[in-house]
Amino acid sequence: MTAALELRDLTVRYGYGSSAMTAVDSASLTLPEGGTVGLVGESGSGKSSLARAVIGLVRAASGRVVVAGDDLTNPIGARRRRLTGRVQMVFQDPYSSLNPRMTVGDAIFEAVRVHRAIGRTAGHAEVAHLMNRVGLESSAADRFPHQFSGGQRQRVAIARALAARPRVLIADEVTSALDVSVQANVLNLLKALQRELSLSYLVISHDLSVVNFMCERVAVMYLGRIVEAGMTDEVFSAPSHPYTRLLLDSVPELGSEPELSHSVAADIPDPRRPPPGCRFHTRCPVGPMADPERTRCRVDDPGWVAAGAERGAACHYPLA
Amino acid sequence: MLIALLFATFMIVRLVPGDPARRILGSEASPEDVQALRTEMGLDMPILNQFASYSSHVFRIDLGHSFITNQPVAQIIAERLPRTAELALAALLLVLILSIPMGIAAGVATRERRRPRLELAFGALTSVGGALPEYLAATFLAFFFAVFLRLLPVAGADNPLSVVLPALAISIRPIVVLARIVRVETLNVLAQDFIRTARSKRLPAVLLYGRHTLRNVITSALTIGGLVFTGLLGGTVVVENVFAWPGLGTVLVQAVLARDYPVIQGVTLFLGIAVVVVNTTIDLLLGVLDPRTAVRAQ
Amino acid sequence: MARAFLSAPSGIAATLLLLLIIAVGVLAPIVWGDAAARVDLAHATEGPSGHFLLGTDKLGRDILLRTLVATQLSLLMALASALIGAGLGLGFGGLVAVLPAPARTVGERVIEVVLSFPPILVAIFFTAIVGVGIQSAIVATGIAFAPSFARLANSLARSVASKDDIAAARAVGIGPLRVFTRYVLPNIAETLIVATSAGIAAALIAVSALSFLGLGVQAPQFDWGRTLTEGIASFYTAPLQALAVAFAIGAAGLSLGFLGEAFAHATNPLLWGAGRGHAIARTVLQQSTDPSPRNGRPLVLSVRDLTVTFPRNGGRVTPVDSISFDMAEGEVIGIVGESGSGKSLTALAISRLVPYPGEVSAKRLELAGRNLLDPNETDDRFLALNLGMVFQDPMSSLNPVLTIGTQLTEGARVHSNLGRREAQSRAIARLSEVHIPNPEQLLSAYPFEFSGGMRQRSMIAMSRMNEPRLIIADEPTTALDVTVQKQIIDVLRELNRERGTAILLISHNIGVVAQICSRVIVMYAGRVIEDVDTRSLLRKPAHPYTRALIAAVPPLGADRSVPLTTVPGRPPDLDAIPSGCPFNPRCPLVTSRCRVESPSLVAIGDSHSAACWVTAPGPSADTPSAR
Repeated sequence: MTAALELRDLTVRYGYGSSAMTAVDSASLTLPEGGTVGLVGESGSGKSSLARAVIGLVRAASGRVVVAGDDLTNPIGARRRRLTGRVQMVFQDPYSSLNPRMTVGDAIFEAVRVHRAIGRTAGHAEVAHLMNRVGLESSAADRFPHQFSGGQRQRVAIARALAARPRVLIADEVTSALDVSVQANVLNLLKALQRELSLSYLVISHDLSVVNFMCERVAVMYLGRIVEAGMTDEVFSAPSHPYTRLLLDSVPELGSEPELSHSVAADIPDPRRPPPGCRFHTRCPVGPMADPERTRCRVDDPGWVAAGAERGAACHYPLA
Repeated sequence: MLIALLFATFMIVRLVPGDPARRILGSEASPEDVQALRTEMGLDMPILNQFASYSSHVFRIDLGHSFITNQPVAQIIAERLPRTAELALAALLLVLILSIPMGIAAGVATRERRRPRLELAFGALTSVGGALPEYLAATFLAFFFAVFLRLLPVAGADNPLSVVLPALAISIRPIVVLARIVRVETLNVLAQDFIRTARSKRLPAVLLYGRHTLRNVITSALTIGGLVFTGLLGGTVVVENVFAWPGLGTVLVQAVLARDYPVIQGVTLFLGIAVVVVNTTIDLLLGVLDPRTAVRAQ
Repeated sequence: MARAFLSAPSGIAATLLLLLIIAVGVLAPIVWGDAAARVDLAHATEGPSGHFLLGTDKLGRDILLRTLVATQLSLLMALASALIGAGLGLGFGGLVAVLPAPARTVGERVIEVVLSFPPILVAIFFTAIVGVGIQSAIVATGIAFAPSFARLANSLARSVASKDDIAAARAVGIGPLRVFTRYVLPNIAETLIVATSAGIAAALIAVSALSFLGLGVQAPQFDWGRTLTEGIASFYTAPLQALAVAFAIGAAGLSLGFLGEAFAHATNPLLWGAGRGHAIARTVLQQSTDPSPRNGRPLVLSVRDLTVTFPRNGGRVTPVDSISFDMAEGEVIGIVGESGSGKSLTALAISRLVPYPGEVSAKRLELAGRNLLDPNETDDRFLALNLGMVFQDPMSSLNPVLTIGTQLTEGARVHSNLGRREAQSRAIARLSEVHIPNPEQLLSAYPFEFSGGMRQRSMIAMSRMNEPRLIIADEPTTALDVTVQKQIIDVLRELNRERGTAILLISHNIGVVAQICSRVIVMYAGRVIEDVDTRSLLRKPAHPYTRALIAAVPPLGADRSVPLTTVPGRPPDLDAIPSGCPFNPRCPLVTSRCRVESPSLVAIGDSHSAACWVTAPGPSADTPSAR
């Protein structure tokens, strides 16, 4: 079966001259039809740049974005329309992603109109239907964004994304700016919508619990590279890559006894100047900083080591 | 940038519509006189040669002679410069001494939306003052102090007191504009998180406002208000003409009216250099005060 | 939007004045054109009279009429030159903005450089080239103002490029034309209109200045500038001539300026839409109970009925409502809550940092036994020596223009009377405590040179400089990556263990709090709704809100197919807190009593109390004590 979304060696670069940086470096990813893939990483990991490249907001320097078998990398014109009709995105900041000068009804209506020739009456009915679907009262359609709360604005953004009747929805840190109790509601909504509309999701988050709840597959990014990928349950219970292990250890788990970490106290390097060899070696708890014999990590950039059909990591000394 | 300046002043004469020599001599002049003047001005040479010749003269501080008085332009500038500098510096001093403390005091007093009436009054006052260009201020001041009260002189530069009115006229708008900017920046700085941190350390007011606030305010005010300082030069030129102040401003306007091109070129070039100097000084100051710009410059 | 325009104090007045001036400009030459030009040497230089309202100039012409008639030429010239400047500048600036990067940088630099030359000098320069007269004055002024418009166009283009709502619109698939008209243009148009009105005012002043200098309008035509020159020439004999014109120019400039401001006010979308609810002044009925005793250990902090209020919309809101708890020396306590819970304000109230115009009151608020509400008992020095603070975002919480060394040492130098060298060595010691490598180097560095984790650790070191008994940490890990977050938590835990510093940790993240706090206080809508030791919190949380908070974050390994247990709705706005229990509209266990009476904290275990009629009924409280 064709994957809903496939990324092949996607690379995104910014800037020029001395301030050039590679935000995404040869990322490959497969989102099966109806599935959910999570993308986790911290600041500088490149996950947002990846999302923007998929949706065509930034240029992919190289690589392919394949949507249901259709190559829609860097699309213009008709190809772009095809892309936006199939892949939609919900952004992180509910406060800035809606035009403050348009009512929410207009914003959703506009999105409906882009993808379908539809009259005003039918269009407004569709808007009401979409708003109800995301749990908002349709009577609120003529209010402005600033009159809503953060969680409600995210629902508006979801309704707008759904207006295009996409097959793939990218959720870029959609709950990071929301209160925890509101977050749970939005996540439940997203799950319900996935079932009802047979959507495929790419969930981007720095929060492992969110990714764990939403996604049966996960990919871990560090400084532009995907360093580990596989089924979430496997990756999170028995990670191969030391960075995944570090991430998991850092999540404050309720009820577990906290242990004083003995990890190297270095901070995330500047993404414009990634360390040579394996990018993680400056912070790796089992790398050359901890074990001087592992000099390979300073020099050789590890390639992908597959451990199964859908599992793999990029590490010279994978755990377990 | 200096080269661009050189080029621009050079181009004044060449860009004049029609024949510059004819315009100078008037329409009644004979063709021989016009041609003689053209040769003297070097207008028949190819453009690049003209520019090269002009540039080499400039570097030798030979700016030609006034068409009207035949005085060397360099000498004219040297004579008039001190008076203009005197006026501009007096205005600068007034601006710095008055606007910054006023702005900071207003900012501290109206922080966190305290004293809304003071904020309104300050806003109204600065709006009115900000709409007052130098020549209008000069007019009002001259009327009030010279005509009405007969306290201060209104023309010439003989009396030591005669610098007061012109300097005031030049500085009123900049003082008001800068005070407004400084107040807004003070409010911005005081609202920053690091001020809260400083308060949590229970630092005395002197350190809180002196060390933590002042530098940040000056840095942002300089960045935004840098234009105010170069504007002082423009204001000086205009106000000199109101008060018959014997500086570069009056001689420039006279030269433009009389089409005395060498003087125009020389004075404009000089003023342009002055502007560049002011800007560079501001940039250097910013580099000293704000470590972030210094690092970026490296 | 019209309402917002009129609500600006300057809007109406400015519009009226401007309309008047324009009317004069249009009509005056028609009505009074000849009268203004009539020379009458018999009445030269007369003062104001019934016939000549402002007197006459040296040629016997009526000053008032002359001033009025001059309006048209001045306004037209100003308009023309503003349009030229705007056209040239916006064109160039816009063009530069869409060029590829290296050319764009050069273009921007050119704009900056040209902009630095005072417009009046540029205008004089151009009149030198093209000669004097009306047309050259217009062109010269236009060119002089083009750079400011260019810079405006450039900065607008840049801000537009980075706006999220535009990116979102493009992602939806909205075509470039519509993005331009509905998203870009409204933003730009409003800024441009404001700028143009300011530009016309500036052009008016500049063009009048040129005429004033004799470089603009030439006799026998006259505009305000020219009339002003003539007025100055006869200043001593007929001062009204100059003054009348000066007032005219000033009035025109002012009204244009105020109009621009009013327009800026009107275009702020946050002022659109139906008005929001008004504040309800709430009287809170809550009985205070003594919180769980601290096992006889000396208390570092004792709080009873701490309340913070703010004025809003004519009434008052109460973001912190009768908080009570105690902290023993060396204890680590967490306060957990979402937005609007009042947790951060509680921290600020304890440390006397509540911003104006908030008011703090409490039955008891004591730090190490001394009254925090009395600035004599707890002066600045006492607070500096006994209380340290760590704030949320280390980038903005540290002063960017001061070295880390200065910021670390200043507190100790002022309050512990340390000399420079002593303070520095203490700073180095504190930095080592938080595991910063090469602390000596850090002292002379600036905050922006380091990563978030290092900065936050410096802040922790800074809070420890005077070795306070209590450190209040307000969301210390929220702005940090999760791996860095763990480092900070470890540092705090170590500090508590090794140095015995009590820590009050404020966070919205229950997981973080549970990691190092032995006790957790849960806040909702400004009140404490549960006060419990950590173990019981995780095993048997009482209050439905606490349960919801815990259920909202599923543990790793939970069943993905089961929806998260949630409660509907969201935390209430401060000016719309429900009566009775503030949680009642969202509560799955709500009863009729909950909607009417507000529960107080009732002990349900050894170190466990909750405020809930259903899960913590306690002895019946018939009449809550009114305040």
